[in-house]
Amino acid sequence: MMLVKKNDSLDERFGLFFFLSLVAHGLFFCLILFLPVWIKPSLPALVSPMLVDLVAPMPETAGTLPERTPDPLPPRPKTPSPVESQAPPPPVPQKTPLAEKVPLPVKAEAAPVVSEKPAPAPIPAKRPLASQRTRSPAEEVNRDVVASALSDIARRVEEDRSSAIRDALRGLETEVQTRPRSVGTAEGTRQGGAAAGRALDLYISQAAHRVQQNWAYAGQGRAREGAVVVFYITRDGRVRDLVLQQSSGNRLIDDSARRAILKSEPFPPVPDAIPAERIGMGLRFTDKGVDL
Amino acid sequence: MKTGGMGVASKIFFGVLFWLIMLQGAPMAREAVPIIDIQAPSLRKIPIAIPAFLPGSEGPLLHEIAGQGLVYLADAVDFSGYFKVSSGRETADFPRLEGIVASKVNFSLWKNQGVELLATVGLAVDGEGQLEMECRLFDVIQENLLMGKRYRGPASDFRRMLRLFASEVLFQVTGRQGLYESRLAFVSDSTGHKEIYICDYDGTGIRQETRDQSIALSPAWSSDGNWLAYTSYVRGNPDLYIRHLEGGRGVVVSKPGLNITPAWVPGAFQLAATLSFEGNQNIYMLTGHGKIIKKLTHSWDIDVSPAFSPDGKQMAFVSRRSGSPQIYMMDMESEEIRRLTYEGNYNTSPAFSPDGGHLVFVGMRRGEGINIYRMDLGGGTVVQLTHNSGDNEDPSWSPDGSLIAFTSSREGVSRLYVMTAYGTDQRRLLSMPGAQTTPRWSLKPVRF
Amino acid sequence: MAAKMWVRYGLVLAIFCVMVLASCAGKTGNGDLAAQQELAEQQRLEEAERVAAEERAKQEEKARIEAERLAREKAEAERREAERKAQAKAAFLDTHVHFEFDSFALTSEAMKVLDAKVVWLRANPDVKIMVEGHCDERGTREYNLALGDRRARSAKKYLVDSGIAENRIATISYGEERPLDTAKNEAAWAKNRRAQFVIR
Repeated sequence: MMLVKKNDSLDERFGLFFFLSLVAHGLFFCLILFLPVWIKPSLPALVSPMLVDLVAPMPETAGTLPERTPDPLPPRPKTPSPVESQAPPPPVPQKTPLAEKVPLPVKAEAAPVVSEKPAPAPIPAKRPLASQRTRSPAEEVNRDVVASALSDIARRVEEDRSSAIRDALRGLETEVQTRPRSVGTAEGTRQGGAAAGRALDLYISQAAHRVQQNWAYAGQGRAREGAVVVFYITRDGRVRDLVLQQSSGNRLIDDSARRAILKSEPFPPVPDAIPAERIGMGLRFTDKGVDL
Repeated sequence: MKTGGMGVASKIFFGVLFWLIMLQGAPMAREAVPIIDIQAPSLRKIPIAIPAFLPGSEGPLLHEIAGQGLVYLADAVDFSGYFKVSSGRETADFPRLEGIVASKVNFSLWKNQGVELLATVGLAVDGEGQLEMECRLFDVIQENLLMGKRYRGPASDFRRMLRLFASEVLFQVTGRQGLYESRLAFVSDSTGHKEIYICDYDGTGIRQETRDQSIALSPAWSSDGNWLAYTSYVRGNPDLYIRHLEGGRGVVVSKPGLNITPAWVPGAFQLAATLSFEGNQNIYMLTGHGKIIKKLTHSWDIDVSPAFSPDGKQMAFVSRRSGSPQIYMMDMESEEIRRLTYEGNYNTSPAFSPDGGHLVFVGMRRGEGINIYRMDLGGGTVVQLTHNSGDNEDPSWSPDGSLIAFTSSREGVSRLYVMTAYGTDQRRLLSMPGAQTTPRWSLKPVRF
Repeated sequence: MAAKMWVRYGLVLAIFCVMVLASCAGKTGNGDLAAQQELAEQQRLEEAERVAAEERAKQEEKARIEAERLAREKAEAERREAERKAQAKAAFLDTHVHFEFDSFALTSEAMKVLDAKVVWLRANPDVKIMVEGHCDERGTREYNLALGDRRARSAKKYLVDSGIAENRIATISYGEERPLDTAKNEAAWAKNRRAQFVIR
C-alpha cells in the first residue's frame, strides 16, 4: 500500500483505485466466509436422491412396504398413488429398522454446508417397485386392499355370526377369485393362480376357435362394428345366458353369430385346472370381407 | 347388542361392498369378460336342408310336382352359391318331414344333419283346381320360423312359385335380392352369324333377339329392363341400335366410324357409348333416343368400354392414354379422372358390383393368359378370380351381387360360365352350337 | 397374049389388092399403127395399173398384216396391261399392312406396302376404297374394335398425306371378328393384325 508518487495524475489515481479494489475484495471474501454464520438462509429442504441398494431386496419385507402407509378403512381410493411419491419424512422412523442398507452420504453443492450440517439420517431406499413387478401397483393395491377389507370384515363377522353376511362374504371371495385376469399378464408370485389363468386362456381360445369353425355367414357388405355376443359355458359345456351385447348393425351377422355359438354346443367339459363354476366369454364377429 | 352389532356390521358390509363395486365399476360398467375377435366366417355357404315336399292329398299330379319341384328348388337355391343344399338326393335315408309347421318339425333331428336352415314345402289342390303351395323357412339352431309364404296359381306355374320362394330364402338369409328374376343377354354364332340371345338366370328359356345375319355385339340392358342397346354391322358399319324389347321400336346411331360399347346410366334413359366419328375413339353421353348430349372423354388415344357405378356417379372405362389399355375412373360431377390399374400392360372390361364396392375386370399378364380380376374399390387390393383355365373375359355381375358371369375358353370353344363373387364354384351356364360370348346380366329393375 | 394380060391384070389386081390390102393393112396398121400405139399405150397403162394395183394390193396386204400384227400386239399389250393391272389390283387388295400387338403405329415395312398402294391409287384415280382394321383374337372384343378402327385410320392418314384425296378412302373396323387365320399361334395372330383394303 505504498503510494507511488508520480507526476502523472493518472498514476496517482492508479494507486487510489488499487487500494479501493483491495478493500472491495477483502469485504467480499469476508461476506462469503462469515455471512452464513451470521444469517441463516432459508434453503429449501433437500430432495433426497435415490440410493442404490447394496443389499439384495427381501421380497416379503418389500411387499409389505406400501401396506403400512395408508389407512385401510377410510375410503380414499387415491391412497395408492401418494404412496410412491410421498416424501420420506413420515415413514422414515418406521424404515430405520430396514436400514441394513448402507446409507450413502448425501452430496451437497458446497462443501461448507456439508461440514456444518449434521449428518442426515439414512434416507430410505426408494425401491423401484415398478420394474420388479409386472402387475400395476394400482391393481396390486386393490387386491391387497380388498384382502385387508375382507380380513376386517371377517373379523367383524366372527363377532356377529350373521349368516347373511357370511354368505355375502363367500360371494365376495368367489368374486375375487374368479375375477378375470387380463390375458397375458403374469401372475408372478401366485403360482396356483398362474396355472389356472393359463388353462382358462387356453380353454377360451379353443372355444372361440370352435365357434369360428361353425360360423356360417353369407351376407353381403361389411358391418361397421362387429357383433359382440357374451355367454357362459357351464362345466359340462352347455351354453347359458347368451346375450347380444352389441349389435353389428347387420341383423344377418347378429343371427349368424348366435347360431354359430349354439351350433358349437356342447363345448368340451371345463378342465379341472379351472376352478370356476362357469366361464364367461365374449366373441366379436366381424366379417372383414372376402379379402382378408 | 346383537341388533346393534348387526346394524353396524351391515353398514360396514354395505360400505365395503359399495366401495368394491366402485373399484370394479370404475373401469367398466358390467362384469368384464374377455372378448375374442373372429375375423371371418369359416363357411361362406349356409347348410340348408330341403326335404321332399309334402303333398296334401294323393294323386299323380301333386306327386309329379313334388318330384320335379324338389329338384327345381334345390337347384335354384344351390345356384346362388350361398347355400350348401342337402335334399335327400345324395343320401338314401334322408329324414322326411312329419309336417311343414313348426310344431311338427323335429329340430334336433335336423340339427344332427348339420344344417342351420330347413325349407319345407307343402302342396295342395284347392276347390278350383288351383295349386296351393305353402313354403316355410326354419332356423334349425334357434328353433324358430324365419319366414313363410303361400302361393296360389295354375299347377303349371309351380316353377315360378318356387323361384319366388327361393328369392325369399336368399333375401332372408343373405340380404340379397333379384337373382331369380334376372335375365342374361349374350352373343352366340349358332346360326352361323353372331346374334344376340336372352335367357333366364339359370341359362334356361333361351330366345333369339336379333336376326340380322351379320355381326351383332355388346348387348347392354337399361336399368328398367325394357331396352337393349347393341352394335350391329347389318348396314355395313358398326352401328348402335337402341331397341325396346317388347315391340322392337327404337333408334339407330349410325355415325361414321364406330358406334360401340353401350352402357346405360342407372335409373335414367341415357347411355354412354364409344363413337369415333370425330376421328378419335372417345366416349360420349347419349339420350335413349340416340342424341349426343356430351362428349365425356377427350384423349386422342383410345377410350372405350364405359361402365357406370350403381349410383351413376362414377364411370369406369378403358383408355390407352398412358400407352397401354388400363382402367380409369371418372367422377361424373367433377369430371376428374383417375387411373385404377397399375399392374400388367392390359386391363380392360370393367364391371361394377351391384353394391358399388368392387370392380371386376379382365387382365392379361405375361405367362398367365387372360383372366378375371376383382378390385376392392375401397382399399385397392386386387384378387385374381380365374386361373389356368383358358381365356376368361367379359365379366358381368348378377343384380344381387352373388354371382359373376363370364366367357371362358377352357373347353376349347368360348362358352358362358358363372362363379360366385369370390371366384369359387365355376361352372358352365349353358351350351349351344357354336361359340357364346359376352354375357350381360340384367340390372335390378329401377323405373325411370 | 390374053394370058399375059390376064397375068398382068391379075398382077395388077393382085398388086392393087395387095396395095389395097396393104393400105388397109397399112391403114389399120396405121390406124393399126396408131391403134397399135394406142393399144400399146393402153396395154402399158393397164399394165401399169395392174402393177400398181398389185402393188397396192401388196401394200394393203402388208398393211393389213401389219395392222393385224399391231392389233395383235396391242391386244397382247393390253392383255398384259390388264393382267398387270389385275395383278396390281390383287396386290393392292391382298397385301395387308401389318401391325405389332396392341399397336397402330406404321412400321417401315408397313410404309413400304402403303407406298405401293399410293402408286396404284394414283394410277387409278377413279377408284374408291375402304380400309378395314383388324385385330388378333387375343384381348377384349370391344377394345379390339377400337384398335381396329385406329389401325384403319392410321393407314388412311398415311395415304392422305401421300396425296390421295380423302374422300376416296373410307374406314371401318372389324376388331377380331374377321380373322384370316383362326389358328392359335403367333404366326396366325400376326397375320390377323392388319389393315386390309377393299374396293367399294
